[in-house]
Amino acid sequence: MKKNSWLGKNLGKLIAFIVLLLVSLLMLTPIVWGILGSFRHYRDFQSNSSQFFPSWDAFTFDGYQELFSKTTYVEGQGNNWFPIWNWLFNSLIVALGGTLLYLIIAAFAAYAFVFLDFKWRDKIFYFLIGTMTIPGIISTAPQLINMSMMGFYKSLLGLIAPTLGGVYGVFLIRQFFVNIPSDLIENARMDGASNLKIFFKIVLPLGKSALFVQGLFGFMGAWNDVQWAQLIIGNAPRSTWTLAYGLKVISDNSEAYESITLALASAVISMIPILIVYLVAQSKIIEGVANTGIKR
Amino acid sequence: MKQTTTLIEYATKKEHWKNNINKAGIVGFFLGPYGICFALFFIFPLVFGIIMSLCSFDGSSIYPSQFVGFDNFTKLFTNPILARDFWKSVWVTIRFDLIIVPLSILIPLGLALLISMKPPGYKFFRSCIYLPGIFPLTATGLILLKMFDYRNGFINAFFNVSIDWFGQTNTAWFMIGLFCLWCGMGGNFIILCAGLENVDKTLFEAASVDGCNKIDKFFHITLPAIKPQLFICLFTTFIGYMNLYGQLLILASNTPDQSEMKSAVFRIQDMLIGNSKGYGYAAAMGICLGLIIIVIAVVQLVVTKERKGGSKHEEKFMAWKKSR
Repeated sequence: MKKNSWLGKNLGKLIAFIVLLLVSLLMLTPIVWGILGSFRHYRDFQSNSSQFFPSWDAFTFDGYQELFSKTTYVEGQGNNWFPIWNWLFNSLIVALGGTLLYLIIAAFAAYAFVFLDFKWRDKIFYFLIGTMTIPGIISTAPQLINMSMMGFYKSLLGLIAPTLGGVYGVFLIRQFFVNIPSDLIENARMDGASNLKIFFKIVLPLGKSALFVQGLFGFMGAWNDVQWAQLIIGNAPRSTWTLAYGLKVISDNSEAYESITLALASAVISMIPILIVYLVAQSKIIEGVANTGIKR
Repeated sequence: MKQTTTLIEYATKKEHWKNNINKAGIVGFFLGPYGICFALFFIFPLVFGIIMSLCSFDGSSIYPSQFVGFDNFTKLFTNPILARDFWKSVWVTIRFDLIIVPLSILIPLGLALLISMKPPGYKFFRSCIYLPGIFPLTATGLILLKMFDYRNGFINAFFNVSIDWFGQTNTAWFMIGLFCLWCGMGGNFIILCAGLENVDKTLFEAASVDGCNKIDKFFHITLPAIKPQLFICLFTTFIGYMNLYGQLLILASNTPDQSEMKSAVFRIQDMLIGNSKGYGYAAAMGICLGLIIIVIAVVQLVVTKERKGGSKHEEKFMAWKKSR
């Protein structure tokens, strides 16, 4: 009787555990298959395709070796070359550089909206929030021409610049700054501290978690972007592509079986930096999604 | 009346002036960099987009060549090829939205409810379910392409079927949906998990004392409590999939019937990348799609709107409780 009641009490939890375990496995299956596949000889994909795990003797580094050796154009090889170091470097510049630049100007702007006093301050801020309701697709075409006019077409600057005008980061960082007690700021002002000093010594340390969350999502968004990258650098020489865009072309070129290992290897390479970010800052990311509603 | 200015007045006035200039300098220093970027990369494209949609481009330069009024818009409705392609793509997008948006909210809601029961290892499961969404779409899409490959893919071999997943319109859309759920529902899932975490637990106890069953509790306590999170999910998911593009680009590029596989954003991208240099049309299409998104979003807002503010949920709950 007692045992039954224990089961009765925990039956729901048990079912939840089993369902969640199955769903988690399902979600991870393709990723694990892809990672294993990047070490799998292409012949094993043909002869052994119904096996989830590669056979032992099919283990190979060929995919990675090929990916890192075909980095320059060779006459007669067609489009079968991938300047992967350039792509990695470009992705890092865009994702890291763009995000840091945006964080600086957005944090400055958020400081002005919270701690400085000027005419129409709140009206300007509400106007900013209002613009968030405008669908971004309206400005896709004009933004492309805008980038051309500024000379940013076919250059990494064209990927960074549009993110700098983003409203959401300013909004998010401001919401964190608002919660900083104004007494702290007043006291510092009384003591004759300059605005820059207040910003760096008080506001930044207290609001850094907002910057961190915005930075994480900015980095991930820029690293993963394909749509805008296709417009700006799709017609540029291969060496100016980003990794996420390069992958699309690798995927198009990988119809032949010989290159399936290489294609999977390139996918794994592009996933590693994001995976590291996720493992390091997992709780912050999940908290960030939960609190702010940004998804990617 | 003769105006007299005392020395003190003069001094304070000057001081005031100096102060104002100083203040403006500080505001300019903090707000200026962002203000310039916002104007150049956000406001200017919006305004310029309207100008572009009213102009034609001759293809020799990036600048508009001629003002043509609403020609681009009328052509979007009357030019047989343009109108057919664009409105078909809009319909294709909305059709997909109608299926994927409910799924992308209901499935994460179910999973979030399971998580809220806090079975052992729930934090680990939560990270696992969110994980696929963090990677580049091109990487996860490439893995799906290879895994569901017609000839040597794992899925076809494992289940001993031979389905050309990406080669037919229906199965290709099924794969797009699967891809969207696999990599796109993590965000909703986390948001709903957070919402469920914050449901007032004392309400459940009160309801239990009154002898409510689980289904009653779900519909009268849980659902009203997570309404804000459901709103966020509904709007962001809807707008996100109205802009469906990357998933199609990576998975459906080789599907034979391309006209069935192109979303509205896909048509706009095509217009911008292709040799036709139809920038005016692209801008007009963008404005049309944007307006459609706004209209549907406003309809959603009106339909789901709270008619009374404040303690509506509690009142409703108490009324319901009393009626039992």
